[in-house]
Amino acid sequence: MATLFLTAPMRRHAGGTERLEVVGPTVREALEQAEKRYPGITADLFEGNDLRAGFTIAINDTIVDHPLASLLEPTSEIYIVPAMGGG
Amino acid sequence: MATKNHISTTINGESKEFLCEPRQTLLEVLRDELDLKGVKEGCGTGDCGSCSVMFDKRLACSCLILAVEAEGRTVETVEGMASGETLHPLQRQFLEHAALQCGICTPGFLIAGKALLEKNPDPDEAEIRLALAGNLCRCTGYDKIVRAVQDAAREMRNS
Amino acid sequence: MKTSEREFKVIGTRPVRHDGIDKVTGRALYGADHSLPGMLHGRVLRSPHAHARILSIDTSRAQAMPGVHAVITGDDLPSVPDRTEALGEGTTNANDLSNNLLAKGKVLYDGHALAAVAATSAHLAEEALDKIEVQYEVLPPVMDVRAAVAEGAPLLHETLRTAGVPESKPSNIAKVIEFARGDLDEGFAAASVIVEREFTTAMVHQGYIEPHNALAKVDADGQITLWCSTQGSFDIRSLCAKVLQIPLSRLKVIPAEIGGGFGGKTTVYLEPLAIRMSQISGRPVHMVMSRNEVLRATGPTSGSVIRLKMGANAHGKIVAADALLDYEAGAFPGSPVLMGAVVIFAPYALENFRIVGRDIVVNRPRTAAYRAPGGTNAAFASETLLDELAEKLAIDPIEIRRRNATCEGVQAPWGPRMQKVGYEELLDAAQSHPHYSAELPPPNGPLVYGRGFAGGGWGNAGLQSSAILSVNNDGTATLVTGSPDIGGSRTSCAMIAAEELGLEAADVRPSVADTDTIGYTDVTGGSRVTMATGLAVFEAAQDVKRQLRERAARMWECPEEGIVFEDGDAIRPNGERLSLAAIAGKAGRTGGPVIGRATVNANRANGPSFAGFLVDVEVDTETGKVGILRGTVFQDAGRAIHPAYVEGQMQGGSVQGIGWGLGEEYIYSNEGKLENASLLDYRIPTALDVPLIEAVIIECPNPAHPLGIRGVGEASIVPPPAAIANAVAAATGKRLPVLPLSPPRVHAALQTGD
Repeated sequence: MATLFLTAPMRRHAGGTERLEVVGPTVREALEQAEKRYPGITADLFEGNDLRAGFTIAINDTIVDHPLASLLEPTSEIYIVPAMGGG
Repeated sequence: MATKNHISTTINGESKEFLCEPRQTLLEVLRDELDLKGVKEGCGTGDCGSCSVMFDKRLACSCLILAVEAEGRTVETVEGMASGETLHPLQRQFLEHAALQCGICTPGFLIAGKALLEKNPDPDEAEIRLALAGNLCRCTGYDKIVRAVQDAAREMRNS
Repeated sequence: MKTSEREFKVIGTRPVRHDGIDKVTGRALYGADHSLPGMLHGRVLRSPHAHARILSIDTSRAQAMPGVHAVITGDDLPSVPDRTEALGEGTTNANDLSNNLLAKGKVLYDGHALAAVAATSAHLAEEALDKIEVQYEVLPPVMDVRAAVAEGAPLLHETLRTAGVPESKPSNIAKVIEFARGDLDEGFAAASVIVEREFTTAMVHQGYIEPHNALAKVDADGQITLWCSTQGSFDIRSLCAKVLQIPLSRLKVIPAEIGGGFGGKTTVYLEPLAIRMSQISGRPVHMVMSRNEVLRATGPTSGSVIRLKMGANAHGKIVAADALLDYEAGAFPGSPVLMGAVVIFAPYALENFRIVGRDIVVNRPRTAAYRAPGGTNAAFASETLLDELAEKLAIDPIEIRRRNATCEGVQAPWGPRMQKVGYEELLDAAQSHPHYSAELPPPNGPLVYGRGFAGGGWGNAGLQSSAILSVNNDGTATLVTGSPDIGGSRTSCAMIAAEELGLEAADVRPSVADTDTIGYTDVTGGSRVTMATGLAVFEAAQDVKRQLRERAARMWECPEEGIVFEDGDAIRPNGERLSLAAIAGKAGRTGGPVIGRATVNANRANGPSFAGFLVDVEVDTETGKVGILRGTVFQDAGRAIHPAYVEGQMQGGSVQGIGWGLGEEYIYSNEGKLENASLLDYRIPTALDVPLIEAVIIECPNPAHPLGIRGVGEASIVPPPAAIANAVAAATGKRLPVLPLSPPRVHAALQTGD
């Protein structure tokens, strides 16, 4: 089972749990599972069908090119990360 | 519109004439009438040095000089530093040392460095920093600029 | 992606930059140097009040002046969506941006633009501004975060509610963000020592020497050309198109040479106004800002109040940390508090922490990015407290950092696992550097001496870049990218192309192209150009090499299999070689021009760059003046393509950090007017204020990048204020949790028993 690490706001929907076990095959499906288990938990992540601007997805140690469509391995750790900016 | 003054001056060793209103600064006229755009307006109040020229052989901010004051005087800008294709040692050392990043302050620093070395061919680091204290650079932190001036001084002493 | 262990011929050398001669002879054209025949001059009317309702604006007398060809106010900009969307370098609310460009309804800071005029001369335009009559209802201003969050504080935006807090009532808190992990109570219970402080930092400006500028020309068919000094021509194109509601294809943005940006030139102030007035007048419009306008009305970065509590066990391991970051957003939401929250513990491995950040509007200019935005404020707090923990536990300050250092596999505070990074290597380099063990002068009358260290880091914005690499018939090459060159990056990119093709750097001619001539490229900023545009260049070079192998096969009339391209030659299995020049010379007969192209989204090639600053200070206890005696900056560049430019970034960032630490701050009157809007009184470091700064480049290659490059542009500004404060504490025994450490503050602190 892949692991979805919850952001601090998401944990409030999940009674304080820091991580959820999810299956893929993709990140999108993993997030849908989280939403099914705890309705409202992914509301702030989406704008329509896409990830809201300002967020992206990292799997293990790498920011992925296609956030929602990325395929998961059984050992994948999914992180929702802020998009890095700069000056 | 105010009546324009007719001014005769010497810029980088050449006689030049121009018309200007009394309220125009030397900086404005160099850029807009004489197409010498090496001088830059960074602040308009003489605090940043990016408009530096040598005015009768003295380092000065052209934003603080009225154009009419140039009558009968000499003005030197960065455009006069190279001789044809041959760069001035300061220009060459700035390139070798990578003493510029965005480059907007560079003409001002080159003039300030020239003014220093013409008066003091063997300055120590403290003297260099004092001479350059009127020129602000935000990109380099001054390190490579100081080293470039040191090496240019050495080169000029040895030639 | 594996980083190669190859030996480089060009990468790592220090060729003179391709645009160097233009820059030292005054020939280079910056934004204000461009002109067009018949152009008008634009100037902006700005609010003298920090907070006021606009009751009326009467522009009729200005419109009537001979020589005035356009006058605009907020009503001349179209309505735009009032929501945060992907726009510019990250996200932007277009309605806020538009209101910042020309105020509608309210003015929200001293200097807020209200109207603009285009006339036949700049002097005339300024006279016309005086003829615009504005009626204001002045409101009480809210000038800092403490005042803004207080009960009953005047509201800047009556309908602004706190994002991230369900069912919040209107307030000046635009957003709350949080990162957390583990159990704080358990963590603090395990601490041998706990330290807690409230830190205050002042609003500071990027301080680029070149003011903002724009030259817009609208043709009869509506096509628009815009010249401006910008960090990103596509960024500016997107913002202008959004604010003016025009298609992207109607606007061409040509980046002039740029006189510094540091993040402050990734947004628009004059550009849409110049375009709009050019549309109305039918003539080109040229606009520049004065320094006073730059300081009052562009985008400084947040002042902040940070409350931080950290606990460590006897071994110096951080067992818990609790942070509240309150950042000034300025007049509209959008401070970098999120990035501050990311950076505050970035160099360390922590299990129990809570970081809460609040984005708070105040009657100051709308903040914009400034080199590692949000990071310096945060590190000032965390690196000071780490130092205090070290002191209380009698552990060497670099050693305590090593015991907590992040490394491969650690779960970063903001989420993902870390890849291989160079912080430990950097700490080793700092600790073993002669500066660390050099003797300090003994106290001498009122003068005392101290040494301090601080660490910090910054990631890389990744984002998109394009590159086109053409091989010329004589075997030289032309490289086109879309990354404005602030610090020598066009040469670094040319060096990458040269390395891959076996050429000298001088044989590759780089140019920075406009939005019609190169594919979409995100801003020069976010430490991304050498990494991300360099990645595009690298891939374009691979594309060229593929084509060269094909052409060689055609010239040899043999199959392509087994042909490689190395060291500037195509080599067939039997050892025969064809040089790049030989292949290029025949390109017309083997298939046509050889042009390599690449577009990348470099997010996955990200690799953080850590930095450290070691500083010796002299404190004059009679005057409170802090002098910098010696500074050494350390930074992990992954792979330094052009070491002199890497050093330049490190030294430049360090000196900006020194200014931030010692003298720079926005000083407002009680009425909210900026009192130090000049470079005399907004005190950036001069050559007299700093010594030579040694730059030590660490190279821990970025495993996610084919050349190991880490972006270096920003991280060096993060540690210096904390390092200086730590040095002052070592010299005087006093911790000063306020920036800047200006003489009056230091002096006052040394007087009190506090």
